[in-house]
Amino acid sequence: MSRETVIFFMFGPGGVGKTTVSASLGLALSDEGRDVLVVTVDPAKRLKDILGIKDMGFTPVRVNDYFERETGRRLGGRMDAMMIDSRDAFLNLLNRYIRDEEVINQVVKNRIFKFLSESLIGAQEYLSAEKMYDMFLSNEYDIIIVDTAPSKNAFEFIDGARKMAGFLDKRVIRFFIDVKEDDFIKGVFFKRTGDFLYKILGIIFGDEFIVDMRGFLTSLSSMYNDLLMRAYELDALYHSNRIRYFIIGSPQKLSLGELTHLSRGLKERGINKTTVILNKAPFFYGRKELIMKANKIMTNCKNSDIKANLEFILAVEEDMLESIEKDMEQMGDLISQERVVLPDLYTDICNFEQLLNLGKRCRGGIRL
Amino acid sequence: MSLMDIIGKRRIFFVTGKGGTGKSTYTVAIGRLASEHYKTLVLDFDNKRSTLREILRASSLSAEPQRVGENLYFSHIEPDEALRYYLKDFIRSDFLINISLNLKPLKSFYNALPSAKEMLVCYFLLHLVKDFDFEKIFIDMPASGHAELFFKIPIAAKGIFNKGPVIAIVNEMNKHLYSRDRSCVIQIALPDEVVISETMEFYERFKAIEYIDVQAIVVNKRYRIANTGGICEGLEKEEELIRLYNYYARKSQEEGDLVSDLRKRTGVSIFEVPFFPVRAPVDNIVSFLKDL
Repeated sequence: MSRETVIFFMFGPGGVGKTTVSASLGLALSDEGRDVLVVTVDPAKRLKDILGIKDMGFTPVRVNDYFERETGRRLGGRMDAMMIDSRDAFLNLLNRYIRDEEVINQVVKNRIFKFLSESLIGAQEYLSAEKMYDMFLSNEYDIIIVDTAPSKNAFEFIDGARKMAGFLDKRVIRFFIDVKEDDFIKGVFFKRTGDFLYKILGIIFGDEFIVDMRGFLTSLSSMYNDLLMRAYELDALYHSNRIRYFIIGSPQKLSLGELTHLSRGLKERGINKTTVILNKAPFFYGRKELIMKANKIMTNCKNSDIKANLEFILAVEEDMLESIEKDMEQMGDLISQERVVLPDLYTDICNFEQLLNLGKRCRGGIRL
Repeated sequence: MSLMDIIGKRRIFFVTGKGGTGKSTYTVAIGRLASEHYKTLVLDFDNKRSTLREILRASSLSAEPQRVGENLYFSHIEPDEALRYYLKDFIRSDFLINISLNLKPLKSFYNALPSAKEMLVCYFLLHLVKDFDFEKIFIDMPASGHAELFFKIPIAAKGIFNKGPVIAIVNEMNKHLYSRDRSCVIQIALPDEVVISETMEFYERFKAIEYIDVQAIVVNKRYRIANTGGICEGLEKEEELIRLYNYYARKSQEEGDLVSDLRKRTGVSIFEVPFFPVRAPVDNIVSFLKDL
């Protein structure tokens, strides 16, 4: 059976409830009978806590079992959850293309591998996207919800494919693997056409690093074409109708303008449509008459402590309201949007039933 | 200890925290406070976007410090500019530098190689630290996780290289930028359970890096609701408003508990700042900080 798997990309600043919304929307969609995978790449590992699943990792965990145990009823479809770790994702990638275990060992032992997969910035997002693409191709799910890391790194998720494609471009790689060993080690840099580049890279990173990089890239050389293809495919996927972009925002104590910033980022990447989920919408959102009433009560209040409290609360609420409305308006000028408003329930979500309810509210505002 | 005492103790301050907590606002606010006594530089290095510039209303962006107030200077480091600056130290000719910067493979490599940009940003930072006479420098860092990778550049580099230019840079970094007698971290947090627990986690993780030290945590946007009990006339019929009122009263209480827990568990100076409307000028925060 062939499905039209669709990926939901969830973007948003930290602390707006991105993971909660992702998990709850996943539950609601699965309850409708769809097979759903919720993937988190957020290093904060909140998904585990929200779903109450201790050992979640690189293989999808069946959430249905946990759901049934707690609520005593079944979801209509499958609901899986997983966390992507970039090192595992890299190994996964190597195993797919390289059959020779000796070569894999060589790669894993290379210092560059550690450098790329563990400690550093940017590679992680691409590798996570790679794994997500695997899941997309597996045909096992109707919907894959990707809970990305907070805003800045989220764009790395999209840009990663293009960057990787640029890096794997023959013109780049050639410099590393075509040069004769002798020339390279002797440091006879200016003899060849590409030697100038070597010189520059040597200046920036050191000759030693360039030698290492060369060893690393040479051991991977058998998989370049495949990798490059994948990177291009992934980049094409990002601009296809198989991906839906969501921006999650919440006015709770957050800085102004994040939604605008995210919309601008998407637009710059050629993405013109998004679904905005306003999570924990301000109390007075769309209820102007209630604000007036509250202001009147505050003005007439005779108890000075309560009056001060009310004044403070109204100032905070009106401020949140104003900033989110302004942000939504600026955002609307940038990108076309479908809007879902989830009111603040003023309670923390701590079980599957509550999670599913939130998910249903959210699902109600989304056209599939 | 007052915030001013802490400012007096070090020269360089890394301001970080979870996204959306107010890092940039507090980089400017604390920087402005410092500038009342010291020649102060505030800087950021987001790619093509400077929140500091928006807050400071600076007319232009430049890597070389520009004056934005009495004793207050602002610098914005663009990663591409950092690369140019770095190459200048090795290649004398501007012509060759321009050729290098336009080499597509170099660009791809620079963009694709993780942490290359971060390292060169640090190289420029070293220039600001060493070649100018700023008494205090406040750096608007990326969010905690990314900031940690910045702090760990020397460790990562020493895991990969034995010698060469990268090692030379990280040695300089350890000497002038990352060292407990010269610099420290100021964490910015919100009084929210998730944010506080993340702040706590990063507090531990930063402290685990031998040359990094956390001196203060600012808990921003505190709700201040006096515990009154009872409600006032006109409110008793408004169920929803009562719910809202009670929510704030409860939150205010919970926030207090979270902060005192944080205080107990970290032992560093914690500064609580009440909620200021988003449009309120930074000056309001500065004058509040002065009295802390």
